[in-house]
Amino acid sequence: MKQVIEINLNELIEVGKTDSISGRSFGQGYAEKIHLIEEINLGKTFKIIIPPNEIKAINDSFLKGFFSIVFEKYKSKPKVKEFFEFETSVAFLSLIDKNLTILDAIYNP
Amino acid sequence: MDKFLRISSSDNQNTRCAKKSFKKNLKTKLKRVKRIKTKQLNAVRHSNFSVSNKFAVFSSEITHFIESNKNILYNTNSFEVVLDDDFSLYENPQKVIFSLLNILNEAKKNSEFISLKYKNKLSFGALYFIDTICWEIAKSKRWELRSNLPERERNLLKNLKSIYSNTSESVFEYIINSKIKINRTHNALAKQIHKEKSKEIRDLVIKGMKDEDSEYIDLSHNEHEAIDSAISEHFDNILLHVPDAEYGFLCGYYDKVRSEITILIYNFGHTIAMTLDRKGLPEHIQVAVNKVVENHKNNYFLFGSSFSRENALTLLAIQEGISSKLDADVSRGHGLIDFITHCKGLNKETRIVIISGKTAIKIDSDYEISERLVFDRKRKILAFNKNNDIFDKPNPDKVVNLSSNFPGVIIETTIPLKIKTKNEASN
Repeated sequence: MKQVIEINLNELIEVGKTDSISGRSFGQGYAEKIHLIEEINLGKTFKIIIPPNEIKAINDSFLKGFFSIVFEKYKSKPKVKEFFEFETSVAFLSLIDKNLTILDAIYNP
Repeated sequence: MDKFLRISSSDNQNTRCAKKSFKKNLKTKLKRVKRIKTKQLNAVRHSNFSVSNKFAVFSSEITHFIESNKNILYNTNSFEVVLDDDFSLYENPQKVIFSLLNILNEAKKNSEFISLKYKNKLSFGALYFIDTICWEIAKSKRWELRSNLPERERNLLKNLKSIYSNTSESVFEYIINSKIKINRTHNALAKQIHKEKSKEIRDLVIKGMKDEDSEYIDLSHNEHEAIDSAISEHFDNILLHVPDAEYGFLCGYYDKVRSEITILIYNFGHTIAMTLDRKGLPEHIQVAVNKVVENHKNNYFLFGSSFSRENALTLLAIQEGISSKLDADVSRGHGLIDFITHCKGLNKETRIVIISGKTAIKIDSDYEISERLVFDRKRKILAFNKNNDIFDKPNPDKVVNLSSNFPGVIIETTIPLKIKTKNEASN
C-alpha cells in the first residue's frame, strides 16, 4: 500500500494578511521544500488540500512551477496524476487540470 | 596685509621662508572655506523647503525617462493638459506619455505650475501618472497643480497622493496605492508584499460592492483569480526579468459608480522587448525571434513608422511559451497570456493596455486568443490580425508604435464587475 503524504496549501498563506498563492519560483521552491520528486521516486503519493474558504486564488505560474519538476521526470499528465489526490473546490480542480494539460502539451509536443 | 607678506630685498632667508609658508597656508584655508560655502549653497538650492528654488531635481528613473526622449519636440503651451475621452492610457497612450514629458519640461524651465483643463472625462490611470510626476517635481521646487475639475474628480485627485503608500475611501471610489519593494533574497519562499496588497484590493472591492445595498456578496472564484492574476503575474515578471528594479508600483482603484476595478502596475527598468533583444537567449527562442524579424523584414512590415522591431518583439514576448528564461525551465513564458486569458474570460469588456518602451499593446474584445501551431508546438496566440497569425502584421490601432519612450513597463487592467448575491457568488 502506497504511503500518502498530506499537505495543506494554507501553510503558504498568512491568514488575515494573504489569501492567494502565486509565483513560479515560489511553486518550485515549495516543491523542493516538501521533497516532492524525491518522495514520489520513493513510491509515495500526495494528497493536496486547498481550502477554498481560506485560499481565494492560485496563479497559473505557481502551479506550473510546482508540477514542472514532476513532469520533467514522468512527462505525461496521466502518469503525473497518479501521484496526486486533491481535496478542494471544483474551481481549483479545474484550474489544476488546465495547468496539467498545458504541461503535458509542453513535455509532449 | 599684502604689503606685510610681500618679500622685500631686506628680508633675510628665515623671514622669506616664513612669509612664503604663511601665504601658502592662507591660500589652502581660503580654498577650503570656498568649498564649504559652495556645498552649503547647493544644499539650500536642493532643499525641499526652499521657497526660492527654481531648479527641478529628479530621481534617476525620471531623469532616465526624460533622457530617453531627448529628441522630442515639446509643446509651446505645455503648461495645460486637456482631460477628455482621448486622454487615457488605454485610448491614447502616446498623448499621456507625451503630456508627462511636457510637464517635466515645464518644471525644468522657470514654470511653477501645470493646469488640468477638464473637458468631459477623467481617466484614473492618466491622472495617477500626472499626480506622480507632479509630486516628483514638488520634491525639489515649488510646484502647483491647478485645475477646473468637478467636485468628485477634485476629491479623487486630493485623495490620490500617488507618491505615498496609502488607502483612501469615498462615496464614489476606493483607492489603494503602494510602492512595493521586490524581495530578492535567495529564498524562493520569501514573503512578497504584493500578495498582501492583492488581498487588500480584493477586500476593498468586496466592501465597495456591499456599499451598493446588496445582500451579502463575495467575488466569484474567477473574479478573485483575475484580479490576483493581474497583480501576481506582473510582480513575478518584475522579479524574474527586471533584476535592477528595486520597486514595483501598484495602484488598485475601484469605481463604485461603474462597478469597475482598475489595476495599475508599473516599474522602471528593462522593457519587455529588451528581454528578447539580447545575446544569450535560449536557442529555440533565438530561432523564434530571428524567424519573426526576418519574416517582417522580408514582407516590409518594418518599413515606415507604423510598426517597428521593438513592437514585434514586445508582441512576441506576450505569446505562450516565449521567455528568455526557458533554459532554466521549459514551462516558462505563460504569465502574460495566462493573465490576459483570466481577465478576458471573466468579462469580455475588460480593457488592458501594456506600455513598454515605444510600444503600446491594447487588449479588448476585438481580438481573441486562440491556439495555433507555431514554433513547433500548439500555443495560445494573440496576434491582433484577422488570421491570428504572428507572422502577419498586427492591427496598428492595437499594437501601437509610440513616438515617446517609457523606459520600463506599465500595465493598466480595467475589469467591469457584476454585483451578485451570495448564491450567485458561490457558483
